[in-house]
Amino acid sequence: MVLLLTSDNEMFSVAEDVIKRSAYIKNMLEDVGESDLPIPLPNVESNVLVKILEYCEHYRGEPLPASDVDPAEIGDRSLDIADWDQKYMAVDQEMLFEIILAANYLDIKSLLDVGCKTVAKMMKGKSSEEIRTLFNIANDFTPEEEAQIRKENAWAECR
Amino acid sequence: MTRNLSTLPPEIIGEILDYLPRWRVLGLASTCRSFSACCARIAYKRIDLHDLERVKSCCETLAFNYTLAGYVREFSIVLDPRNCRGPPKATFTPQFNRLLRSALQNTSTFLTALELRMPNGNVNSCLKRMSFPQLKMFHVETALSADLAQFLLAHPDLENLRIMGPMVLPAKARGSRGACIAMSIPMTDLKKFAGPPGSCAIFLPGSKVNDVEITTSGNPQGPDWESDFVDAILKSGQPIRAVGFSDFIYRDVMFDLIGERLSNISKLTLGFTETDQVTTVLDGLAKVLPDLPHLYHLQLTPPSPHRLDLAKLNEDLLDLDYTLLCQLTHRRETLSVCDLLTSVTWARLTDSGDWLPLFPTPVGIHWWFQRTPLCMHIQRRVISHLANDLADMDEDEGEDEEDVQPDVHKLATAVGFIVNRAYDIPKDEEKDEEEGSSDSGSEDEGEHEPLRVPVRNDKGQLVQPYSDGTNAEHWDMFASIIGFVGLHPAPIFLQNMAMFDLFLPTIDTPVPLLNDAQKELMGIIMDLLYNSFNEKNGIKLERYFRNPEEYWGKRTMTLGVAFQDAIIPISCLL
Repeated sequence: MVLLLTSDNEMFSVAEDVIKRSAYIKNMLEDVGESDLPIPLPNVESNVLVKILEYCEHYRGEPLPASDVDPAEIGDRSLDIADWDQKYMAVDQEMLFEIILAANYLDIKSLLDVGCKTVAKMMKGKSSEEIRTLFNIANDFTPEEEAQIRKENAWAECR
Repeated sequence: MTRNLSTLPPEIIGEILDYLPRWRVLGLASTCRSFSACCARIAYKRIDLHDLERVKSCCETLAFNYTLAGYVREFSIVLDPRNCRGPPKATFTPQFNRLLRSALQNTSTFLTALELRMPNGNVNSCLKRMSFPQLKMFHVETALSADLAQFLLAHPDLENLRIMGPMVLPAKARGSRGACIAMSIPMTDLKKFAGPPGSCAIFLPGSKVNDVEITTSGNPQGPDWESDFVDAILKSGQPIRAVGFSDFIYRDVMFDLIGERLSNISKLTLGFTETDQVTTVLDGLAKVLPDLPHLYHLQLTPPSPHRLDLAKLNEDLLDLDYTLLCQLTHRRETLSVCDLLTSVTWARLTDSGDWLPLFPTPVGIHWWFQRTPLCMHIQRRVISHLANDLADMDEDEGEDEEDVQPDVHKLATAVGFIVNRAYDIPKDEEKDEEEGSSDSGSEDEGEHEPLRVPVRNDKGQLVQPYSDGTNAEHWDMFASIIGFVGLHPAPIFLQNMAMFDLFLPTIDTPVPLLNDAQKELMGIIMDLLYNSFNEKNGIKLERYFRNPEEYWGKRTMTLGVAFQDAIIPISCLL
């Protein structure tokens, strides 16, 4: 069992083969070896970790992705998301982004990909105004700056 | 702290945006600051420009925004490739040249690929004294002049060089000893070269070139002219695997030389200048093919004004290509990929070796379909259903038009019946009973079954219809699409139901069983359709077609609609 300590000071005890889906923790266990001390996760809150563990638990036993994947090989760029993953990702936006950040921090590539795909799918076919509304993003440009950006990028617009 | 998309770290925003089509990403740059740089970094990485207005406006941005220019890795301007002439000379004013030059200057530090195809444009003056330390690929449509030679001397690290234009080196550029052969621009990393015949002697000796193309011939100069440049080609440090010619005037002796001295090639490209050369080339090919035991890729490129619009391609032209292919394959069985006169690429199915045009539009797929014995069966069934639907429509005249749609489930099960029988999959008595009874009273009772022939998804796994968790309507839609593709071009039939009625009586003939070759063909049709809808990725070509030297790589194919210059995947249109 591995002990994990979240940012809000909750302790989790997790089976090693479950949490090894996180390359970050897997490497740490390999480097440090057996230890009774908990691994601190200062960037992950307990409610997010619960969700992350749900994912790792579901894929328990499935082979871990090869660690030395060539970054130049982009491979699967489709927006296909497996059914279970879709249901798993049906959470509010704040949790969605927390999952993505935690997956990034814990280095769970497959979960990060699913998270990014979920967001990309939400963005697909939308204009920048629609995206601002959908994700509640403030427009932090001055009107002049916005006009400048539009002008600079005008060459790429569909005509 | 409230999490928000814009508060994610830029590398994750970049990761997300990478999933969106590249041409859509730039439109999102004005969303907010954290997006702007991410979008620009993705969208400016590779720039392809095809019309002059865009070139001007893009160069203006790059000339005045050094940051954006720094994102550019690949920059390509191809103006009017269809009619060779490009915009008139007057378009390329000194102001334009200065603008392009500043844009190139700003991108120069990181640029790895540069393509400038602006016939009539003064490319040399834009490039003068400029240096691109990372440049690996350089394609240019201009004469090989002293200025260009200077530029190339300053870029000895190129791996891929293409010069589309004649040699116009003045005598003094040919070296003090006076002979052209004295001139040499060593490029030790050069792997792929294209240029006028005389330039082979300048660039190839000592290079790593294994792929060479002669881009122009002008008029054959002297009796030994061809063997001179073949000599130069063979001075490359690597064995030559691919030879090509574009805008070339062929004489019989050229084919003799290929057969005698370049017989190890695996790829041959023959481009024409004059239409009347077709006979010379086809005769030459017939003669030389048996001497090229490793050849698997053959490309015949007609002069550009004769090239077909994809949108106008029809099945008769595909038939012509096919006949020619059969003759060529007869002489060289190793052929596996051919780009023929229609500019369609043909590939050979892995097992049966039958040729298929990779023209993934309803026209192309219908051509495939006709080569299975199922096409007529499916047409008859689908038409009879549509005819019934239309008849029903007439009866309920008051109804809102939008409500009248073909009964997808009925169509799907009619198609399912035919395909199941063709694969000899017996009727599933238990499950299909409901189907039969729900259709009771219908004249085709019992000839409706859900599709039971599995398809392959883009990972190559078999998927059993109606049992993978997706809803049944999806599968109905998929099966009815098989029907509609078989029907293509549908409007002709729909306008002339009376004509089609003549064919309907023959529906009684039993569905033929497919042999292995026909199953292979029907399999790729169904897989292509299945993997083209619902935002799927299309099929991986290597999985279906003969793949010498990993030719297909990761290439995929998606069903689309042909426009003049491109095939737009259906999923992009939706």
